[in-house]
Order: sequence, then structure tokens, then C-alpha cells
Amino acid sequence: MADADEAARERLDQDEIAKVRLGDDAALEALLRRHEAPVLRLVRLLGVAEIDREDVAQEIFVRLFRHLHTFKIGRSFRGWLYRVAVNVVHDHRIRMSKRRRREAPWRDEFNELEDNAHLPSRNAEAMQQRDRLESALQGLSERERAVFVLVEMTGLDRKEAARTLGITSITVRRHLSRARKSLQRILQENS
Amino acid sequence: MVDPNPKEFEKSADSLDSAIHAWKAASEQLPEAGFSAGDRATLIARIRTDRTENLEKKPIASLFLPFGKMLGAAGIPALLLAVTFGWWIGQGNEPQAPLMIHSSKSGGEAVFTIANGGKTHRVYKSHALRGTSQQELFTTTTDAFSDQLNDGNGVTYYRID
Repeated sequence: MADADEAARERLDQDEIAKVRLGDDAALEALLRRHEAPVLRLVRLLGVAEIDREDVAQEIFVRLFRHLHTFKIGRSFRGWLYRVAVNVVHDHRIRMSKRRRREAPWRDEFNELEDNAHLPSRNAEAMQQRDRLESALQGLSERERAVFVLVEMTGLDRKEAARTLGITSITVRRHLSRARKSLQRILQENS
Repeated sequence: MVDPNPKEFEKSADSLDSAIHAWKAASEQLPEAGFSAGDRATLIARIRTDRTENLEKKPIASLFLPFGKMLGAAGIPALLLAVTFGWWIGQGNEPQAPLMIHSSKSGGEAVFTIANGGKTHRVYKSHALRGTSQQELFTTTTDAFSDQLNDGNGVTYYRID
């Protein structure tokens, strides 16, 4: 069922890409609306500080549509989008390290939790559950993190993740295995 | 290296899988917000401008190109120069028929007349003076063609190549 939904979304994407190429702004907006939230989430999972997330997400879409003419119809749009996202986040990370700015701490989520104390307790609990794993991601290298996020958290299969990151399936498996071991250790230490 | 305590390892693997499961459940409860309407509109405008600018000039991305690409990068401009020069030399040898284009509006249609000796032309239509939204209408070898104007999109630009 989930696969059928995904295939339907993919078909919709392909139709809209064809329209965007002909200059249809409504199709451009529809593509943005459907993918902006997953992209913002991916940017968060890849460790971009909250203050920079919107800028980075916007840069992803600008770069994506700049190169839309190179997208091959029939290939996975989601995979291509995530590839652009990983590359833009990587560039952002390099820029940030050059400026010697520290990545915003993952305590942001806890701060939000404190700021939003009025939220229903069910949401507060959900936020804690979400933060538990996301804060553990800090202990991974950039590559391990990208592989883990794409495979375990956004639902790409290993082959698609390999294609997205431009690496082999064996490398994906190796990074995933290392990431899982590190996360197991971190979660155990935190519990 | 052998894990000193395999049972402990299995337990931690379980705890990671349950953390992933809990994360997925929590993410469903906390849907991610997208851009605000204003930010989205600004972004769309930025994308349109960027696409227009970058389709017109595509710089070579890196100075450190692989050999094949470097050869291509050097060879293609040389080839273009040679072709252009050849064409220019050829221009002097055969007389050219003068090209005349006449446009008029008739009813709800734009009517174009081309006097060019029956050469092939491509006709494009756009609602922006420069840009990526050009739509190829048709290829014509006849001396007159027309297009419906009343599509409610303001000024319409035509390009004839």
C-alpha cells in the first residue's frame, strides 16, 4: 500500500516536472508544497542548525530547479532531490566550518520543548521520543549520518540510497553497520 | 573482533530498532511545517530568476576537469569558431533573399507573415521577454501563420528563429 502511494506520488512528480519545464508556475508551486516539509526534515536530520534550516532548504530547491533540465524522466525524483539536499548540506557544513561557527546544539529541541510547555503532554512525549534518536545522530560522522538518515529514517532502500549518494551498495552497508553500532552505544550510554 | 557480551549487543540492537520505531511514530504525530506562504512566493520568484540567468550562461564548473572534458571544453569552442568562419566565408558566395517579417492582430489572433524564400523557421511563444518559459509552437516553412492570443496571460512574446 505504501509502495503504491509512493509510486502514485512519483508519477505526479514526473507529470509536474514536465509542466515546470514548459514554464508552468502552478506545477512548480505544487512540487514545492509536496516536498518542502520532507526536505526541511531531512535538513534537520542531517544536522543543520535551526537558524540556517530554511536558508539551506531554499538553496536546495533553487539548485534543484536550476538543474531540472538534466533530470531524466523515469528516474526517482525523490532520490534526486535527496542527492541535491545532501550535497547542499555538505557545502553548507564546509562554509560553516570555514567560519569556525559551531553547529547549533541539538539542545534546540529541548529548548523548544521548554518554550512550548503549553503543548499537550502527548506532543511533548512525542518530541522527547523524536529527540532521543536525533540527538544521538550527533555522534556519527557526516557520511554515516547521511546513510543512516536516508535508509532508516526517510525509507530509501539501500540501492536507492547508494544511487542518491553516488556510492556503492557495499559502502552503504558498511556505513550503515558502523552507524548502527555507534548509535547502539550512544543510546545505551544515554539510557 | 568478537563482541565480549553478545547478549548485551543484541539488547542494544533491539533498543536502537525500538528508538527508530519510536522516532517514526513521533514524527507522524509531529508533522513538519513547510515554508510560510510569503517565503514560498519569494522562493518561487528566486527560482524563476535563477533559472533564467543560469540557462543563459552555463560556466564550466571546475578548472580541474578530467582530460576528456578538458579536451571537449577546448575542442568545442574551436569547432564552433571554424563552423562560424566557414559559414561567414560562404555568405559572400551566394546571394541571400532579404528576410521580412510582418505581424498584425486579427480578431483574437496574432498573424505573422515571413518573406524568406521558403526556409524553415521555429516559432516560440512566452509570457516573459527573456526566460525559460518559452514554449515551442511549431516549425513552419510557409510564409504566414497565426496563433490564438486570448489566453488571459497579459503580454505575449514571440520568437522566430
